[in-house]
Amino acid sequence: MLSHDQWIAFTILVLSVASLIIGNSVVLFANRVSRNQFIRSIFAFTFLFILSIFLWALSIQFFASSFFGQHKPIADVFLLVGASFTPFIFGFLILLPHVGYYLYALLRVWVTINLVLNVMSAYHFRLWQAVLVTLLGWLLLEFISSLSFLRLDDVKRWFLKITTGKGEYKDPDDLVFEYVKMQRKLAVEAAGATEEEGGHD
Amino acid sequence: MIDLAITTALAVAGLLAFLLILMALLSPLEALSWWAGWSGHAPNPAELSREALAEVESQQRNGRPQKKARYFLVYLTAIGGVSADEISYREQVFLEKLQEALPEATIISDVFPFSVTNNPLTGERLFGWLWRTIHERRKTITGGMLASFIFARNLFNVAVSADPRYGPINNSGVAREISKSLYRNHYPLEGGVPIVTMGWSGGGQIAVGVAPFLDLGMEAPVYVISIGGVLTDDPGIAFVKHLWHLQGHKDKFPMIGDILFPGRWSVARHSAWNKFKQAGKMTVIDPGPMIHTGKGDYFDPKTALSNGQPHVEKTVEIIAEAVRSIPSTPPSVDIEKPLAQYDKEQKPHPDIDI
Repeated sequence: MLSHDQWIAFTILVLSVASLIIGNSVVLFANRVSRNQFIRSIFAFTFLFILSIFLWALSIQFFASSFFGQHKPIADVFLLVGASFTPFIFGFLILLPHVGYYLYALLRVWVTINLVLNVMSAYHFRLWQAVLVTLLGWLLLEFISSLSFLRLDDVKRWFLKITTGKGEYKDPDDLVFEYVKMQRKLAVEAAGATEEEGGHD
Repeated sequence: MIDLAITTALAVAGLLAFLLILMALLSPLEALSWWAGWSGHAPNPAELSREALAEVESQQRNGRPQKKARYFLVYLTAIGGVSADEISYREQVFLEKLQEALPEATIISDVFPFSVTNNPLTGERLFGWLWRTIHERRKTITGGMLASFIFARNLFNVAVSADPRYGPINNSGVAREISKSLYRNHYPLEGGVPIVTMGWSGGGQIAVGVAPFLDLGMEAPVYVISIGGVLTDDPGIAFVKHLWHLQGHKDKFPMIGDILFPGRWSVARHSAWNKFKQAGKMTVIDPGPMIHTGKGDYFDPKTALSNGQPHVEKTVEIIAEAVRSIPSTPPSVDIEKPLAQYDKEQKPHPDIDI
């Protein structure tokens, strides 16, 4: 079980991730979710993001133990990895037009540095060891998620479908251009109709 | 006493900063909630052609003679505007003189560039009452200070238009309103007639931002005239056939775009902006010692150049000459190339997935 302090750390992690998801919510608006779906999506994506942090913590624990013989309980590793993500508490500021984009890049750099430093201090690693363990953990996750036979995308879609009612989220630019092209197609058809009417007259 | 004054000043500054950040944070919501259908019906692609068709039919029924314009000019006001219907007297004079100089053109100015639904700030909106109050008191000293909030609100909207995440949604909405107005003014449904978007100050960015959506949505060649425009690195420029940028040598505001937008820096050689410039599609014109806004600006009918020509007439002369240089037969529309450049320039959307 988590201690009181660990619960506080976990709560901060949840709030930070939720703030990040809100900051990046343009995808939700672009995909025309309802207000209700919007709120459910924030929860669902927050859950998925925290799950990914947990998996990253697992892989860091695995590499730290395999390569350097250092073992720590998963709850501790998870919270130390999670603590690195606290700068995302400012994630809602990503909504700011123009600056938001650069702020997001800055927050990601901050989180990465945080993570390496936290791994260093928790495991008493040198810098290169912390970087190696963190990087390998990330690569392992990327590798696993690219294994198509695991059908993780399908699982994710299924999860989103049952939690938010929408399994597929398209790219906002594609949606806008599809809309404008459809608008044009209908205008061309309308132009044809007026020409035909003119012909009949 | 001094401590109290300092504390009060800091509190006021803090409150102002908080309000500005809040305004900036909320600024994309108008476009996003419109697109998502939260503020009414989600935009329907059939609506535009339906309205255009109804307009054509009503014109045919009434037997109103249709002016066959060679060009359609769309004027987009600056960030001080609250509504397309309430542009300044100087702008009105400018538009009248421009119409006299270009009788073969149809000029429209009824689109408020800082709203996706052409809804004036003083119109029906949540804080409409506040904007109306500020606008009414604009001429007083306190009202003048409060009017800064109008500038800030519209400036944030310019930033929304230029932001790769929000720009396509925002600009497609404004383009839709421009399209509606063009169809109301007899723009042919089959397209092809040149559209010139003309933006003053922040309106310059909107003029470029809407280009892809007018090009694709109306099959029209789009030209842009920027009057002291604060131009960003919007990849929509790839869709513009030619851009004329008027910048008086006393007007430093357009330099904001040079500094704040990396795609405009000369090191970004492959940006849409720099490729556009390299292709010779941009003409920068110095009309004289004009300032950005106020007495001595581009539309001032009272201030004259050293040769005695009023500023507004010089501006009209330059624009009329630029418009007349547009070929009547539009250049062939090759959509794929600018679309590819646009896609390349659009920064990937932050992924909220794992």
